[in-house]
Amino acid sequence: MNLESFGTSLTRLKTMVERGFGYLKRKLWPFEITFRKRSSKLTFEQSIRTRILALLLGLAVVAVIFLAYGINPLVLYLDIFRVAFFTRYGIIETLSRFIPLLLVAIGLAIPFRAKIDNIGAEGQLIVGAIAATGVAFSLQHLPSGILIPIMFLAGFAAGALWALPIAIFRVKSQFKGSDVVISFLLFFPALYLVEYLVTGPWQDPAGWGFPQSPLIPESARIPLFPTTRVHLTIILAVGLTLLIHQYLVRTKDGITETKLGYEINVMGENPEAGEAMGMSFLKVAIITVLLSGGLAGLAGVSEVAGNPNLYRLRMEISTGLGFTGIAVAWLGGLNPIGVIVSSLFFAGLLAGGVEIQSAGLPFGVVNLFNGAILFFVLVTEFFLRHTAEWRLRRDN
Amino acid sequence: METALEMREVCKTFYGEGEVEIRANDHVNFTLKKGEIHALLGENGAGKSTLVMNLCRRPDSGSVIIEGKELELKTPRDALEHGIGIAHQDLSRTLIERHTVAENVLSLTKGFLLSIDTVEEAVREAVQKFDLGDIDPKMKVWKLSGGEKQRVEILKALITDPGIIILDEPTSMLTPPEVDDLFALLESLKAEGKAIVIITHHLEEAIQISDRITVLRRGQVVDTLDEGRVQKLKSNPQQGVRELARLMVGKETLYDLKRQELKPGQIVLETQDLCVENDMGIQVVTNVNLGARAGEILGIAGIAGNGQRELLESIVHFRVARTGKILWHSDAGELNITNMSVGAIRDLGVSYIPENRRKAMVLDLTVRENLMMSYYSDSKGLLIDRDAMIQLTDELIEQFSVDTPSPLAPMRSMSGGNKQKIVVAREISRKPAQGSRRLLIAENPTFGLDVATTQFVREELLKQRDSGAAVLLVSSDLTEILTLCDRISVIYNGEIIGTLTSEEATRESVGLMMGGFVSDSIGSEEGN
Ligand SMILES: Nc1ncnc2c1ncn2[C@@H]1O[C@H](COP(=O)(O)OP(=O)(O)O)[C@@H](O)[C@H]1O
Ligand SMILES: [Mg+2]
Repeated sequence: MNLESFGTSLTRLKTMVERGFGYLKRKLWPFEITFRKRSSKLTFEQSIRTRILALLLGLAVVAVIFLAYGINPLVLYLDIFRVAFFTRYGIIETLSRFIPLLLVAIGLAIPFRAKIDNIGAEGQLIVGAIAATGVAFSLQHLPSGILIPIMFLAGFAAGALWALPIAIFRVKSQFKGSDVVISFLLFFPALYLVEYLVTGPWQDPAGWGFPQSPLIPESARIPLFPTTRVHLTIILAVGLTLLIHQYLVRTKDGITETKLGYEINVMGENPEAGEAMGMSFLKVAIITVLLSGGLAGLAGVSEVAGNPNLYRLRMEISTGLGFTGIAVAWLGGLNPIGVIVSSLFFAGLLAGGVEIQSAGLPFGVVNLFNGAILFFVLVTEFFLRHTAEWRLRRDN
Repeated sequence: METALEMREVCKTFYGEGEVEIRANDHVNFTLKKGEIHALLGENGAGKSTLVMNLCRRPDSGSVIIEGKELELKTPRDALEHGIGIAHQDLSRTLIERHTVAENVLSLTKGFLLSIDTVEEAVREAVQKFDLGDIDPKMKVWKLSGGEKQRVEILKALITDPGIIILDEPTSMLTPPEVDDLFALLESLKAEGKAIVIITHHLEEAIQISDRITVLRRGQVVDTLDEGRVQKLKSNPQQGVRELARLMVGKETLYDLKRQELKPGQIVLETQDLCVENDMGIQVVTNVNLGARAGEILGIAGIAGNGQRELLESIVHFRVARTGKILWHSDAGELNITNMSVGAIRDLGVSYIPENRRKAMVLDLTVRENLMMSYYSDSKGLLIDRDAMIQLTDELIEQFSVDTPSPLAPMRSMSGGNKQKIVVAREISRKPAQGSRRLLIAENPTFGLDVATTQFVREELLKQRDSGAAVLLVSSDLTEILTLCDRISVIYNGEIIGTLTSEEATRESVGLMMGGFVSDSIGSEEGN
């Protein structure tokens, strides 16, 4: 048999198989679906309703896992809720998780609104923490009132710088669209950097070889609310969130307060049009990404200098808040007020997560909620924004 | 004679950018007989390419009948298997530039594990047989000239020895002697009993070569001229061309647009020896010298894809000019604006109505936000002057009678005509910088619009001219060019091959030039 006729018979075989599949597909799935964007915007109630639905669906999916372990999910959820919001220990712990989570999530919401994907807030948080630690030790002779602001500035700058490449990778044509990948990959050097520091140059000489830095000086610790372990950064976090809402997001008569807010909205929907009308996508990308990285950096500072469990640099600075923040931002509808609510919710989950442990499952199970809820938020949002049209196939 | 191919009541609708509904084929009936050459004529966008594409892409409705059998041809492969060879119009889509000629032909072959040598040999033989000049099968396609690429595409249509041959604008880049060779080839194929469809813009060519002619207009068949009538045209080609042109455009000499006497002022924007490359790095605009004068509409006519897009993009700066200069003239003197940022150029007083509606509006924002787009940056500092924006957008909606329930309605909910009204209103109301004149650049501004909005847009362009703005109108709609422009520059293959005043310009003269012929010097340009 020569090669050519062999080739021909292979093609025949391929065609037969294709036809067969085509036939089966037509018989078993005789529909054509087309998605079209709706011409009306989501109303406020609609978006609240979808988010609650997404939340419930996410909780339901995770519930299946609890069931598989023979745990009653309803009881567990109620327990988590009770502990997180109705016990003194829980409320304090919730608020202490709320602070970095809100900083990360509000930061992420800004570039997300311009359709720039920063999924590497975790890395930006880590470098923020590193910068704050560095400042705390090298300028420890300064009084608190000066030292702490410098630590915040340094943390912001470090996080922002760490995030900067994302803007370039998002916009410059050679790389277009690799923002997701680059932002994620930048997490690893940050992680290795902190590992290097706490096992090398910054290791606590009096720490019996534990991978951690010495405690930061008292002057570098953010003051706590009396009798609690909640630090004052909460005021900064909520204040910044409200500022972002006022200047970048809120519209009155359909118009945002600032040019930047408007440009973010345009770029988020159609950068081509924005650029044709003289806006610079690169500028918007750089600013949003810097803000985002900077806010994640602040979260890192607040952990090192505000969380009484730490007050030092450790590998455990990375607890995944930066990743949880993605789900928080989306659940909050990328709206600052919504993000405050969703941060509180996720902080509660993290705080009440001890209940999962007492039910006999590892604490890491908490992270299942991130993925499940994020998934359903995105799916429900897609179906609200689009209409699906089902048609019987013509060729049937 | 036997019927080779029949299309009955085929319809195909596209939804363009900004959800413009385009009925590219609207209940078209078409028959092709064996042993005939059938010419398909129509203006740009009439739906000719779409009609032949129905043979390798299912139409929305209607039936395709080949050799008496109703078939469903979904892919180019299906067409091939039923003995249809198609040379497509858009070579950038059908030829893979980075592959060699033979590798491009490979996609047509059946089987598996073919050696490329066999294909190269087959290509060589076919080139010999069809007398297609010298085409080296080992040559990478991007190294070929336009004419050579076109011959490769023709080769692809012929090499499988199909019974039905379809050539979509096969002559647009061929020199006159090459066209003669091709026609001789088609005659001999016809004698073998093949059924041939040829799409062309050159009306003489069509008369010369074809047995029957079908004319399309806006997606519908206007007329099919049978052998007798075509014979009559052949006896008096001059008269014939005029008759075909009339069929193509229809009686509508369009609207009665009042235009004041031309009072051209000083030059506002000038290009000097401008050369621009396309995305592939191929130079598609060559040494263009243009001057847009205040109080005048300068038209750039040309068949789509002859470099007009890249030319405009370099002027409004989405695209870097390779060599040459773009100058801006104002009371302050001459300013070199080559490769300045879009924002800076717009601030001087340039407005732009892009052809691609997607570039002109944001469907998911409100009408107000869309109208603001060219004005929000006038506010001082970082904040937007909200009151000014509300007043401005309300005024624009009022003045141009945009039909919207509220300025806060989403752009997506507007009709196609209203969307374009919003874009036009926004762009023509911009104020130039101090001491500067206005330049309005409009790129196919009435494409896909209903009659009323088309009229509206054209009137607004004239008003701009009368109020002293310079207008640069790029359009592939000849009627639009002829009714609006004071001067018409024709672009062909990236070069301005001639400029006519509105008195000199006729449908025939501009049409011929769009096809690459300079009316009184045909032949002198040949060979390059
Ligand atoms: N793939 C497509 N998507 C959207 N619109 C299209 C597409 N193909 C063709 N059109 C539109 O359909 C109309 C007819 O196009 P076409 O058949 O290419 O015209 P012709 O070949 O007669 O110049 C034009 O308005 C064109 O813009
Ligand atoms: Mg065509």
